[in-house]
Amino acid sequence: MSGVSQEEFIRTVREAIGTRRDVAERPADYGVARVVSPDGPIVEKFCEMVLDARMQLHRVGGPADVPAAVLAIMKQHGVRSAIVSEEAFPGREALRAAMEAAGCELLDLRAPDAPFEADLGITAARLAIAETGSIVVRSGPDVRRIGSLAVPVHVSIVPRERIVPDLMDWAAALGPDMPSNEVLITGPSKTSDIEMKLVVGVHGPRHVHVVLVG
Amino acid sequence: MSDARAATVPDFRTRAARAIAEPGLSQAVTSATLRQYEGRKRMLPELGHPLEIRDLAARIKDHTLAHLDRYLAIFAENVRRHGGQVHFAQTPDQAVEIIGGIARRHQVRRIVKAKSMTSEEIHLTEHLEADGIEVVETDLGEFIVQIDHDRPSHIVTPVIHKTTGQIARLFERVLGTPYTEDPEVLTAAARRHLREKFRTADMGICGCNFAVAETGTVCIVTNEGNGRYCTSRPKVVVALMGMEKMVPSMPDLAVMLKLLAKSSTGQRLTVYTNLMSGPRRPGDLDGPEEFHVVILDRGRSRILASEFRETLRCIRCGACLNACPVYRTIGGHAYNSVYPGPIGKLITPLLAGYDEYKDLPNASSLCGACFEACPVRIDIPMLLIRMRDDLRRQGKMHWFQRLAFRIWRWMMLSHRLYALGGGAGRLWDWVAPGGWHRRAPFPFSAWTRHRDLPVMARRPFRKMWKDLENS
Repeated sequence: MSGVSQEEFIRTVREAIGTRRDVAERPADYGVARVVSPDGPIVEKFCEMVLDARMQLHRVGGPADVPAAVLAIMKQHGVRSAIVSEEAFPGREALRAAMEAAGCELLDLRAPDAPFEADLGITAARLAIAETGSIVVRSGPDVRRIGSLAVPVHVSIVPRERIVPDLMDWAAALGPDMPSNEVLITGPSKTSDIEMKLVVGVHGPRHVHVVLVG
Repeated sequence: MSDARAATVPDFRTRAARAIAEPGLSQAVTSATLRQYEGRKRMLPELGHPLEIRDLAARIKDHTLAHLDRYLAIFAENVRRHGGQVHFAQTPDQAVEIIGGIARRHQVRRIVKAKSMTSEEIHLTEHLEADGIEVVETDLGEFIVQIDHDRPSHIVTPVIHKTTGQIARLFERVLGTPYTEDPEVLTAAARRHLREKFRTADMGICGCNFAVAETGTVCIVTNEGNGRYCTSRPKVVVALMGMEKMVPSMPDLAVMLKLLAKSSTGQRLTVYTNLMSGPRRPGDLDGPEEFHVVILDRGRSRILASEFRETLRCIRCGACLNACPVYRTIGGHAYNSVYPGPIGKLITPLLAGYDEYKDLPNASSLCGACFEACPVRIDIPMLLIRMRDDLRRQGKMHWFQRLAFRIWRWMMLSHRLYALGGGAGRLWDWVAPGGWHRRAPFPFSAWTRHRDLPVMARRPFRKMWKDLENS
């Protein structure tokens, strides 16, 4: 394969930098970047931002209430088939049973095209960010990358204790052990490419529901 | 733009005049850019310290650029640690060869591609298509550009210059969609068309908004989700990045993310912020089997060594385009460059050479709206002045301008000539209707062809000052 070696490429860069290295110290304090303080009402902030990002919010008291909330969402969209990712979240087994009892076909998460065929995809948020209303989905052995993308309706289960105040808190906890893929989802798939008119559901889900537990 | 094509392109003045004459263009671009500009103004104050965070972002970038050799090595090592492969290209040809080689090795027939301005720089799609590969642009705007054989005119919203009617006719012709001006229906048609491409592509290509050195992570942001598809479904994924996209660590990335979408489209955050660190891991349910990162120099090390280093801070948000009165009036195509607008006037001549683009740095009124809008505090007006000076030093200024400024200098340095010039000007002011000269005789017509000249003050400042001293 062509191109140049890393050594040669970096040598050119080093020569270009020359002696102008001490122009800026690496910043020591990122305090000015923080928007949401950990001391504030972060759950309320998260809820406000979820709605502002055009997602739908369902607040339930505990894991036992999750199935009813999801069944209502299924009814709203006429859902007949779904994929449920396999990461642990409170009430997962009860939810699956309730969905099947309601006549929803649960597709095999491992079937390559299942996310393209399902009416609904359920994932759990690894974290949620109050500042932006984002939900953080990490893919891996239990979660399909496209399980929250190819489906027309995405439901994210967000246990209340997973909400962090600020993007800085999300970033601070990330280190060298990054997974192959992590995505911050902040709203339904959308575009304004045609004369700045907003259209949702362009490639990804048209509807994103956040079920906040606790 | 290839050299051969550029040679036949008329000069900027002609291109700008044509753009202004194009019906509806200026209105379309103005209304779209104003919307994004207003969105930015509404959203920025949400950052508790909107000025300080921009200074912080500028410092992060300056620091990274001053140690780019080190961060590139750290980044490459970490990508490899995750199982990814890193390639280095100093020229567009090398980058194209690397990516073409990967495609050939996997006998790729269909590529889905997310938006990447860097890929436009190296004409990647054209080269891959010449190899007989189907390359599908999947960002809605870029898709429209591709099926219309057009060029993007804005780095964030590529079809800002097109009306819904034009897109409707295009879809009718190419996709067979019955004519409609409903963007919902048009978007749905594109969705159906592209969904099958996503499902069946062998290879995905994306750009890179930020590369995080300490974690070996490529970050791309998209609103539509096409970037996620392109990097999740195909077996092979290639991310192409300009080498300046580096940030040291995740907190640095968070600072940039806070600024990018707010500055760009007035969103709090782009819908999908996608972090990729290597290929799928053993046991993962999906994701690419091979993950390649191609790091491109293409003149960037030359910029790094020059007095224009701070242009490499640019995070391609497009805020300077949206703020620019010149861009709003002429749109993106008149710049004849992958990067239009204020930042394009700087980086295009720097990346592609002064010879082809020496008129771009002069296409500015130096009003400073771009500097005000820039999230990483690039002093674009100051750098444009510096570049004009650089052009002069390299003898790339028109002889007439050189002569005019020499005479100007001569008059400004002589007290008597200055006073004489002022006197002559005041005489001429007798024939200025409404206090403005709209048309001047040669050689001053070079000025009044494009702008009016105000009359001079009734009494020169020198005299007013003298009166003050005597009173």
